[in-house]
Amino acid sequence: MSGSGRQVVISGIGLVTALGEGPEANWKALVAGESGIGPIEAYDPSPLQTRLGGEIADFDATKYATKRQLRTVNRGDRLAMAAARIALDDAGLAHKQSGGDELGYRTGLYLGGNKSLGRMEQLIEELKVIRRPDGTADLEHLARHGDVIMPPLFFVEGLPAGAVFTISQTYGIRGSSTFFAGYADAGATAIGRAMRAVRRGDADVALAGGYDDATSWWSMTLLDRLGILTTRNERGQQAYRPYDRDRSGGLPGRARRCWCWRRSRRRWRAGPGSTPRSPVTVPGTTGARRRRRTPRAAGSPGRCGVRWRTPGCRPATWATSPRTGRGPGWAT
Amino acid sequence: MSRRVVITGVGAVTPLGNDAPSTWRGLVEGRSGVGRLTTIDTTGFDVSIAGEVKDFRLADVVPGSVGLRHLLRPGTFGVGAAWEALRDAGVDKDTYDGADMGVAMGACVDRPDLQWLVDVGALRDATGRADAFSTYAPSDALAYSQNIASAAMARMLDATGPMLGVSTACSASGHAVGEAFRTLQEGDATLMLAGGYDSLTTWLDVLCFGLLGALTKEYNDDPQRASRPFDDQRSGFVLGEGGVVLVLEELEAARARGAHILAEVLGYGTSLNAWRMTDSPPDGSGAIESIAAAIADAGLEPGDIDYVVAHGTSTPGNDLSETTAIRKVFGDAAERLLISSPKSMTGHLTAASAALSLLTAVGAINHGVVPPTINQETPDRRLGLDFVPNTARRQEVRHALVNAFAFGGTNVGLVVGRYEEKR
Repeated sequence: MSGSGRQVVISGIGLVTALGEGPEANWKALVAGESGIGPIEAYDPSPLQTRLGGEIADFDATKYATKRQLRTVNRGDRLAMAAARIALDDAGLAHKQSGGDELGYRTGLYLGGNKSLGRMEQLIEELKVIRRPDGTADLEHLARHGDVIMPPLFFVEGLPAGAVFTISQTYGIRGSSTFFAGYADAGATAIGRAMRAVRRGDADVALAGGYDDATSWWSMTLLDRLGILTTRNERGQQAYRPYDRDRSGGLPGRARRCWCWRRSRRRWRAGPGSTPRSPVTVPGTTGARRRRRTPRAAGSPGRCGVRWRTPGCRPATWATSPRTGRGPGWAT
Repeated sequence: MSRRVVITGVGAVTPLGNDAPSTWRGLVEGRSGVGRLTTIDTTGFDVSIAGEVKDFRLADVVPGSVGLRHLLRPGTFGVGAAWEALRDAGVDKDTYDGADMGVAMGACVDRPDLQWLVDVGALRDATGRADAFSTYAPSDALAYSQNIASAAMARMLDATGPMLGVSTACSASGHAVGEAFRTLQEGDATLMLAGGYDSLTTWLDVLCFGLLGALTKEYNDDPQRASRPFDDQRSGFVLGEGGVVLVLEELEAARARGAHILAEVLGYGTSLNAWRMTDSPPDGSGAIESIAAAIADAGLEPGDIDYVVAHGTSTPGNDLSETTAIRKVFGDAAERLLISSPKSMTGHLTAASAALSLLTAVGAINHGVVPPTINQETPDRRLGLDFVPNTARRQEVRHALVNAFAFGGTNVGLVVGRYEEKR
């Protein structure tokens, strides 16, 4: 295991959230206790029980992707592309878009997300022609005229790991990679696996993070009736209150976070402007053998214990223990 | 030094059979599981064939299927395969602490119901609102989660260890097995259920893969001849479906409990093409790196590999790109390699395909038989390697390489070998 034990640091952060674009804007808002929660405005949320979310307003994807790329990615992918660019620039890594070279085979890409299909609005509009008078779908008509009815890039846009491809193509990232599917765990898993890849020596640099477009109507149709979101719409920004006695459920947000992992500067010459931000402890993941949506019992640690197996990494050494912070104690 | 990782159980639900032994027999016999597509009414479609799973009901396999009601068709294949793999390995809830057992599965994203989409369109017309929509029932919402089947597998073991859901399309189960391998190497778990499941025999996939020109349309009347990787008359892939799951264990723990060791996982390598979303580069780049990385990770030289379980989709582009990559990595040694593609018999199991290839490699190592690539009627002279045409070959296999490539340019190489006490 040639790279075992290499020290891994975070050298760049990129994110786009309801609180702003980039690490500085988000950090300032977090410290100030600002809220990005508000009524969903991108569409009429009246069919939903939960009509609040952390939407991202005024996001301009053209700063981060070409027109051609924008035709083949959905909104979640666009957020991913933005965060990736911000993270690379924050890390001071020269890349194709900043006049540098391809990042190549020693750069990894580990992403996690909950991507569903894309371009649903156009698909629904186009499929109206297959509706029979009795309201049923005419599959044969769709089959015979699919080349006219289906949006040409619908299938390509819906590729789950579409952002992995687009980011790799944009920056010439050709190294190790994986795309993890899931909800709140997926991005964290990706970051953990990227850290392991750099530590092991599978990559010298890795771009890692998660993205989601959870406030879209399509995502909300799936989340809304599960009983995990607060329905206290009248409370507005006050509705989302983790750990509060009056908490009543979580809220979705749109977000993309991307971290740039590197091996320690002690063993790898980083580019100018690259400053390791933080050493990294060991990530852990946990499975849920319990029934879905059932919170763990109070005090149950889940599986974070895997982190403790690394020498020198004991719970007592953690300054803080980041938690998901979702309202009703949904464990994973 | 990393902990060693071995395979101690295999389960499968495939177009060749509803368990691993029958699947293996089908592969060795060179039997095709491709036939008429029955999951949808194919009237009007350019493609009307697929490699379907036949007569599989999860309730017939898994007793007391409480909590499995949310599974859609692909998830039932995965859970059925997982159940068999656990039985094959002799593993149950008491074998290890729950926190030492985990799941890593490759699968695909949900597919929207066509009638529901049409209903939303009707609602928009009726209300005059372009953003009107209706919501799913909670049970439907759970069914559309990729990780529901993995959660069901975890409950079989009371497993609370690492849970990894991978969605990299046709390389997904390769990534899942690889990440499970790493998880065990690094000491995060003692046992991982790893593999994949998928069923893209839906209206959306048959239509859209067809529109992309990826599916063969020339063998609707002769389905068993349709999937013909590396043959000169290949014209696209055939959709398949199924689930293949393997039990991976840390070696010392497996030995301590007296497990029967089927093979050892030795190497894992991944790469990105960064080329085109739906094509493989003709020069084999990306694949070259994943193959080379996997062999190097195993501590082997290319000449140590006896058998390559090819991605071999039967598309003109993939098979050329993959062959080019093999030639570049193996050099002169490529001429003596045995290379075959299970997809010639099962169709393309997409997210589950790499796990099926791994089953094939494990079978070859254990039985000393390399399954064929069927439908080899007209050799493609541009490729020119030994694709084990049409008939299985008896051959000792010490080390095998599994290739998996996907839309989006994600590539995986896995190296497995015969278990030897000392390495």
